Amino acid sequence: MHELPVTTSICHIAVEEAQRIGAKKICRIIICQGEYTDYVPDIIQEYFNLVSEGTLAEGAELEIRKIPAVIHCGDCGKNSRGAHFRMRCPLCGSRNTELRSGKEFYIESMEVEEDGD
Amino acid sequence: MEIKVVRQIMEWNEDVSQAVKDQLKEKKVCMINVMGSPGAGKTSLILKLIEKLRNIYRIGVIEGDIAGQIDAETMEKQGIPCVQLQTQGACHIEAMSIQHILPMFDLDDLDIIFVENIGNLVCPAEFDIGEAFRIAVLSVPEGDDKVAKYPLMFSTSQALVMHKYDMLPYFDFDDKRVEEDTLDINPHAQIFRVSSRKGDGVDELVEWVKASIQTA
Repeated sequence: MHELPVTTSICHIAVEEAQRIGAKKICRIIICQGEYTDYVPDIIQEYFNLVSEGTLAEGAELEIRKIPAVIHCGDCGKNSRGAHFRMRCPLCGSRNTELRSGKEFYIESMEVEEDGD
Repeated sequence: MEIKVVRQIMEWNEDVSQAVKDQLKEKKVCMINVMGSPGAGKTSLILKLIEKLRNIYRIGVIEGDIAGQIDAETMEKQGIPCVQLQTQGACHIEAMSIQHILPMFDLDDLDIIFVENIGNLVCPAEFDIGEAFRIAVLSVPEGDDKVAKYPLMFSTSQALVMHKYDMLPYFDFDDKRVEEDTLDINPHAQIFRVSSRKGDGVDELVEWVKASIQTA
């Protein structure tokens, strides 16, 4: 259920950016989401259909691109793909690790129609 | 046509969270976000911590609940300044709610604010509220698979309290598994085994809280 305020924010940002350049319609919103976040894309799209009603973003499709979780191991020095929020190095088992990517959650770009498009 | 945006979706909460953090820092108040399921014993744990800390620190509490003010009344009976935050159905607390509530406290007269988040293992973890640190509470009767099933909250907390630890003989709860699962997702987590009812493990947690407040 925490997807509702998140979706409202997506719609708000998208409309603000579209208005800034004078677009008349938002067709597609491309979102980057790290694997170590906890938002459910299907729910976001469902909510989006509701919260975007009557705005420039009505009918827009959301494309959510997953960004892999990458763990860097301070012991073996290698990077590896993380899963299920685990921070343990899958190669050597060390917990001396840091997350290099996987927490991202941002609007990357949008496809819009301008007057005369 | 395609336009570049690159804006954080959580920006509305992050901006306010940072403002809350700055305000509390200026007033030298340490805010602690206590999270866990309904029934994990968050209120009992906070009361126990208050009992042990109130001779050194001036403490306030923000009680988050979907409805009612049972917990706030409990705190007020202890003479602790407390504001009940009712989320009217929302499953988590956002930084904006905390920002609205802070003026109800005299921040010059406080050292610690405990925030008891909404009883929920999922949503509160996504929202920074301006806290200095987080304590996740998992009670023995809830089962030892919860860290593996709901990793985000446990991965973002500085401490895990295995609560109602005196119940261990009555449940198939593998505390070693919980410890391993927690360290796998959160290698720096501090882990405590606590019974607020019997008092076991409380002193260790209190010492950690004191040390964390110093460095916050």
